[in-house]
Amino acid sequence: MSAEPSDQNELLFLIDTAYNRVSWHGTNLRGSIRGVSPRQAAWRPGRGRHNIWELVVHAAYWKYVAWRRLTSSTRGSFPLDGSNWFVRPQQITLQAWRADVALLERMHRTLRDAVADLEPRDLDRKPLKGKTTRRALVTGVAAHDFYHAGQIQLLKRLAPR
Amino acid sequence: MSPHVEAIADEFARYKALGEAAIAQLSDEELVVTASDGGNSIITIVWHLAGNLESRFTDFRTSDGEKPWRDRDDEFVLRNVTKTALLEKWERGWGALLAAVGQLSDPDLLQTVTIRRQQLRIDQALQRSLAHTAYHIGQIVFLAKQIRSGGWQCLSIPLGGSAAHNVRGADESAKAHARMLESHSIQPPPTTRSSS
Repeated sequence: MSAEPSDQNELLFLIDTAYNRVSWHGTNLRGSIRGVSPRQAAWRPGRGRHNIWELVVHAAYWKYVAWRRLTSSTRGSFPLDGSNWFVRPQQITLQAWRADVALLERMHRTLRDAVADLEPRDLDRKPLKGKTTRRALVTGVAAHDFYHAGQIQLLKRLAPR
Repeated sequence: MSPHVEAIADEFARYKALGEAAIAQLSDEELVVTASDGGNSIITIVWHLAGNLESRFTDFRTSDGEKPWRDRDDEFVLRNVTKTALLEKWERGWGALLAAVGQLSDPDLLQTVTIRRQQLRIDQALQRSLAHTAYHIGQIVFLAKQIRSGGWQCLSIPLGGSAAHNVRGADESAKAHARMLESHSIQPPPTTRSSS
């Protein structure tokens, strides 16, 4: 089956349901952090374990990586120094928490725009220096959101209110 | 395999391998532990996930995905089973999924299946299932890590290992991740009922 324009809509639908569009399976990533306070977001279930805040920034980072690979872009960089996991919070304030949620939102929008701009014929091709097709890359980043949404739901249950 | 089917099948393989690598690190006694009052144990999550997969993907294209023999509520009943029994349940669910997906090619994805008496395109049914699966595997890994605490063997890039990982230019495809997890010799703690 050659890729058709509707394929792109399906990919957009997939990343949106993983992030912020009503999802059949239950809570998506954006839904999982709705109403979470900075203190809840900063709470760790144990020494060396990630908190909700770090999962949010980690998800933002991998949306950035997916965008970069999709577009084979050599321009732009992730706004934070480092990669993959980022120690959070620097300060437990509403402003700092909102800034990182906004970062996640921005990375999702940027990725979404890149998916919308893809040529349908390129979906099943690998980007330059890529090891997977663009379709696989987008499917993977959506599943990554679902994976961490499930974890955030548990962290909320455990975190003291 | 067709590229569209392959993209989805590889993600399923990644999450299957993640779940198995997490479960492998736990003893029988640890599988029944819950992280909070009223929370689900790994056994409960596996029972639900495997029950869902077995129902959805048995006779995937010819019968409703919600089978009359499935008892969803029973999947959430507290139970204590050995790891061997748990993995049998796990394999029944995943076996149904893998067999069904293995028979698909890209043109099939535009055909429909029925789930709870509603028609759904096959690609959409697979995406729904992937969402549900990744969500619960995330919880299984979280709980396993919580239970094992310091003895946890990392399933992805370890904390502090990102720079080295980036320099190596590692293959981060779902297929490569699944292969890496399967090749790990992850061991459970020394005292387990299933090891005897």
